[in-house]
Amino acid sequence: MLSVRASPSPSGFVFDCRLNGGAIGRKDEGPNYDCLRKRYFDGSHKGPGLGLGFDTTTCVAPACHNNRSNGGLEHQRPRGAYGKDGSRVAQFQSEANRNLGSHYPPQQACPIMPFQMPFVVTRISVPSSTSSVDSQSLMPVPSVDSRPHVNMHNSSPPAPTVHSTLSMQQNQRNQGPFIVKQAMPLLPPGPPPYPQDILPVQNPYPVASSNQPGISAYSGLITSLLAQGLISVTNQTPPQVSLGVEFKAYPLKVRHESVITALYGDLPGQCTTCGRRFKCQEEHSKHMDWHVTKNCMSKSRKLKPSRKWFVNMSLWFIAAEALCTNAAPKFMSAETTVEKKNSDEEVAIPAEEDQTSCVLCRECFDDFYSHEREEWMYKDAVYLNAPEGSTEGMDRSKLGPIVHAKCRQEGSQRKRLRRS
Amino acid sequence: MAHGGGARQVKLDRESELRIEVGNDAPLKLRLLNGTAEIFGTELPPDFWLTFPPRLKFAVFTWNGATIEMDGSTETDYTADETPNISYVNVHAVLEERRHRAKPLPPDDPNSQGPRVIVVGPTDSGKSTLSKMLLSWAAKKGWKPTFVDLDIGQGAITIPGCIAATPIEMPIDPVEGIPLDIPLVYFYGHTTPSNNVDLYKVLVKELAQVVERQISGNAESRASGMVINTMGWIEGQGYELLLHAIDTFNANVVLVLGQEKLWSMIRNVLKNKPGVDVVKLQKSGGVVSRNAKFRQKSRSHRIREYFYGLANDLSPHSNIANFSDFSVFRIGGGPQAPRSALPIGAEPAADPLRLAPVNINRDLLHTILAVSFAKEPDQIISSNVAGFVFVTDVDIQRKTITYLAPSAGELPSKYLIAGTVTWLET
Repeated sequence: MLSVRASPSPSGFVFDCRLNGGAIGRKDEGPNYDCLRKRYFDGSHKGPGLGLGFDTTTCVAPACHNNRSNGGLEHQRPRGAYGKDGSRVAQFQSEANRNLGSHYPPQQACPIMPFQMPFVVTRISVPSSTSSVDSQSLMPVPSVDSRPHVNMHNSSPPAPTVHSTLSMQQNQRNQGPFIVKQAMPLLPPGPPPYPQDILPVQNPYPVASSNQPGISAYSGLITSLLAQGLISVTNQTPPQVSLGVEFKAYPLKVRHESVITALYGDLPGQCTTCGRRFKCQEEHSKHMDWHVTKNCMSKSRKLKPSRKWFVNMSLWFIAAEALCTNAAPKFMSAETTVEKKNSDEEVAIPAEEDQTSCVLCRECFDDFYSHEREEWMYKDAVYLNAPEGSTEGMDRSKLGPIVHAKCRQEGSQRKRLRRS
Repeated sequence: MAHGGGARQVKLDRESELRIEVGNDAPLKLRLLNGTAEIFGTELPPDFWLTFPPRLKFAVFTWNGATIEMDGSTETDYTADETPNISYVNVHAVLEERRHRAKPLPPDDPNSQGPRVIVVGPTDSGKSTLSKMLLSWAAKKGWKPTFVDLDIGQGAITIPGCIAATPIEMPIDPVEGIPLDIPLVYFYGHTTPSNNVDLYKVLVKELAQVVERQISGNAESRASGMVINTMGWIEGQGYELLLHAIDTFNANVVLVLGQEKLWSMIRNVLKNKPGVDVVKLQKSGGVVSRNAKFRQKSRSHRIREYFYGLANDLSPHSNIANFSDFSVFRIGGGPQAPRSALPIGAEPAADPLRLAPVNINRDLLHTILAVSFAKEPDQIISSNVAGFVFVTDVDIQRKTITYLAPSAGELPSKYLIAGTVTWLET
């Protein structure tokens, strides 16, 4: 049973949403987001003792505050590290715990009911009387392009603010079904908020499929609220005025809302560490991996690092090309299939302290201890300029920097494609 | 205006900005409490303390209103509600449309070339700031524009005296600046182009060729285009060099900041060139004019930053080498024939591109030398550089030279280039 309660708190109004009973199913969310999720969840657990309960405001907002304020005033970034076994998740997690304070147990850390809401609650105010909402009426789920904005309006009392930084929910995949039986919004009067105070209570990314039970349940709630006239739905698709490709066509000094929206609202997901925005979850996830890699690099350094020499011309071309094509589709030709076969074999070269990351993709190497060779090795790594076959006994300086085998392969593929 | 420290909040109205100069001695901490805000096009994370090093000048701008909290002392901080940012972001929007138009087109289509924007204007008109904004907004939307910095005076990418280019893949970090992962750097060796105008032109051409080659081979780069920052020297020879840069990089959008005269001059010159837009923009009131002393100081900081990092977080290495380990060259200048040896009325003229070997002596003390990637001396002019060393001692008796290098180990090459860039380590 889901109950939604709102009560005043020193920091504004608090929504208290609880789910009781066993109707919630958590699905596996795939490996991509593990480390991320841990970070958010570790800090956000404040379990009421109900295995599946969730308490949006109390568990989220203060935890996020802790996350930052605990670390003092430093510019903190999430830290993570690759373990010797290549498992960065575990270390990331414990690291996150340290950042967040050890009173957040890591393992029971996922009590939050992750969900996606294909709408944005922009304003909420409710009459002082309690309303119950019947969830039986479900409405079709809005599609990607027409996310309705829900304005819950009422002239008096003034709208209280929803103070909840639902950062973790931004990173959730859609979840199993739950049943909404009753929702009891009760919002006492309070001071009017700053407009920018109102944070969208949502998973920021547009929903790809509309058959998600979690959404249906929410839709049901919304439908009910709509039916009772407590909220109204406005389709807030901003008018897409294209400014065109000519400078002369319009006055430069006039604000065009669509231009600003393109830089903010059109990129719904935001990295809470660096403020970067993303259009889709995949990009967001990739970006968080980048943070992990970056931190892994800074962590793997023992002392103050030194500035590296700039790359030479040929490496610059490879690196610039790699940077500019990382979103490009991968090509598979007959030739590359053969090459792939070879690279499936284990490739590893001795680890070097001077180079801990691939010069092409800049990600850290996974290292392991080879009992056969009795030294530390980089997994799936090759020398950029190494010929096929063994490099034993070759002059190290002729072999060039260390790169991932797959990165070198991609580089050479592109070269071939360009030549052909 | 100046503030001694302590936490305080500033509420910013829609389209206003908080202009800050961090105090001289301690860093400033700042966070976005609510709303949205950006620093030169890079959005601030919500509720996250950022640390800005001493003396940094920046502005926190908001499109829709924000509350900022600061902790620490500032030299200056004030709120301004008049900014040219709307026209700047509208320029971005047009560039964005052109990128979209370019992307699906085959390379031979004239419109397949994304915007090549060159930002020109007098000193202290906010050229590098506008460049950063355009780059960050483009990167925010997922483009990978190439940043080209032709400003040898200040150098947004690396130390003064260089021209450089680097692809930008994410909004520029408001603290760390342009990422130095993969810059392509050419060493000119002087902080004003009048020392050797021909050399400057040759290097601009070299850089343009390499960037052109990279861009032409990659549809993403091509559609993303370039943002080119230039010098503030816009009179006489400086103006010629601007036209040279516009031409060499095939710029198709010229943004003229803060000077009507320059705008009309360039527009007149380019009016017969199809497909080039010359757009006049206002400079920001937040741009402070910097005197020669300040410029010298900020150059010195840039060099320090190269070796030691912005927050003293890098460790350079001091090395001793024999004179015979290196070959140092100077481009242009060189020994000139004395006037007395020339026919009456003739001026001593040195080949500006002549490569002259430099004897290692005490004259090199406290100079910055660039390490060339050249394999042979005659490739030095056309080669990019691996970085820089700073000469801290020259021992004539022992024939050794002590230098500071960014990292340990051997230099990537034995060919060094001398210029007139000096530094006093402070």
